Amino acid sequence: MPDYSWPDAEHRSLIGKRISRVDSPFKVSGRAKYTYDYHAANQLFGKVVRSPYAKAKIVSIDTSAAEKLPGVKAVEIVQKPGTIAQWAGDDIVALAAVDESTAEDAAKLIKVQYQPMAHLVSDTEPPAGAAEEAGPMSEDDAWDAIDNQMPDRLFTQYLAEHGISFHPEEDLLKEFKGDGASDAVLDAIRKAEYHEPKPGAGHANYQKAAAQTAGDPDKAFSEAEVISEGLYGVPLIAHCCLESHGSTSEWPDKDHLFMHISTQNVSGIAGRWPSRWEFRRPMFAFIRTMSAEDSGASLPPIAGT
Amino acid sequence: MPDDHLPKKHSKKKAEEGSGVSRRDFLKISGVSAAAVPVLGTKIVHAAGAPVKVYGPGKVAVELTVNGKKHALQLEPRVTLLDALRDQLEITGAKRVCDRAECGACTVIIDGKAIYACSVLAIEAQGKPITTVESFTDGDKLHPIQQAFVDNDASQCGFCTPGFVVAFKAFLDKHPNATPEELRRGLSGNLCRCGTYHGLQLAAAEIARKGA
Repeated sequence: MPDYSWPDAEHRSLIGKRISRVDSPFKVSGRAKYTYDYHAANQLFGKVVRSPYAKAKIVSIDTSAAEKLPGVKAVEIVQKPGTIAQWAGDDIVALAAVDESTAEDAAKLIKVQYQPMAHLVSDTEPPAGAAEEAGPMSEDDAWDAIDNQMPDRLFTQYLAEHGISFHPEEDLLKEFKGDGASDAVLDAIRKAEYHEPKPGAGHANYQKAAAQTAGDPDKAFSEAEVISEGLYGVPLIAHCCLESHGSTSEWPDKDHLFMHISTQNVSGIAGRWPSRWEFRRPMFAFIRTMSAEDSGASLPPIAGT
Repeated sequence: MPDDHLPKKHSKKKAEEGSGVSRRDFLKISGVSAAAVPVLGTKIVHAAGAPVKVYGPGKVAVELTVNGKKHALQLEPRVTLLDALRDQLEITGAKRVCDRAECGACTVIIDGKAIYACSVLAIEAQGKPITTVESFTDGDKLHPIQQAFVDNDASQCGFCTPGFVVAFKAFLDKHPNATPEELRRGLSGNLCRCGTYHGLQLAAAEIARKGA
């Protein structure tokens, strides 16, 4: 047996010593800079107009008044009329203006007409019409499925049945793998048939389930004296950190994007932005001086504030 | 207990004296009419029988005195003190979290009182000394309150921390001999989501013992 004995208390360097956090002096003095504290020169502020309905078809969008408002620099329709917004808060229109209050004014001027639709209220039943709506898996859906640890069996089954609506290059598959996709899933994506995205199709309805097994649960059940079965659930629990979600981004030239972003997943996000933006492989620098979100609120990149 | 942070049941008289905008009084007084410094070119209208100055709707000249320094700004009248500090003056220690006078992350000191900067308009804060957390340090030397936070691990993510430090300071300035229990109640206007309250209480106890 190797000798694992500790030095005596007087000769220990860390254990039993009082250690102050290295970041505390910055935090208590207000000098710690969080994403929201960083202001670039001539910075624009973004706002997102979001669906107020759990599920609704977007009938029409009128951005004309917002575009005419002085100080508004860009108005971008994220989901065109005809699309189905999938949740209360789904992005509909994004805009940028010279300051936050102008952006808020502009957001209020955007008129969106919705046609509310039936939505899922029970997580034990699939939403009405889910089967008809299921279309090929988009790249976004694939990221979501990987992030949510969709079981391989369901993932590959969906790909085999519905195909994909994106072109999986090896670079992208490498990113999928880095994000946790198994080789079986990557193979299934390679083999999946390509289909044009289905207009109006929602996201894939997949079932989230635990997949990890250690030991032999079947044997344990067969030997158990008592088996109690039940369906258990908890309401949605969202933790609520104080820091605002969002990012401050700078394009110093066409090949570079510098982002200050509230996340604990700095390395993971670097791979995800190029796929969400149309340029491929620019140089990225992610600067995270401080984040108040280290308790897990901000794993995925979140656009807008 | 004399305490700015606790709801005041009998604060009507104070509000009528126009003594300013304490955190709880804020909701009870007419914001615009409490502005102390007239700005040239403002219009007077009569509302509810009283003359009320009208600013804007465009940008107006605003002068703020922050940490002893005067700043001349051009702001829309709707801009809060907090946004003016953060977006115009790059004084970002005060944080915007709830933006509705609940969490205390934006706490600053105006005229010796702990104030939610999110709920005071910049035009209202003119002519009064405004103190922010940035003024507490002397170079790299922390204020004893800040040192007590460090020594007692009273911050985690740190987003609420400047607000707590400022609230501590404002309370101790008024109640230098506060007990840990009084300090605890003095901080009841501030929230922490990480749950550093234990560290905050230890810091309060240390400050009560040693003085700040």
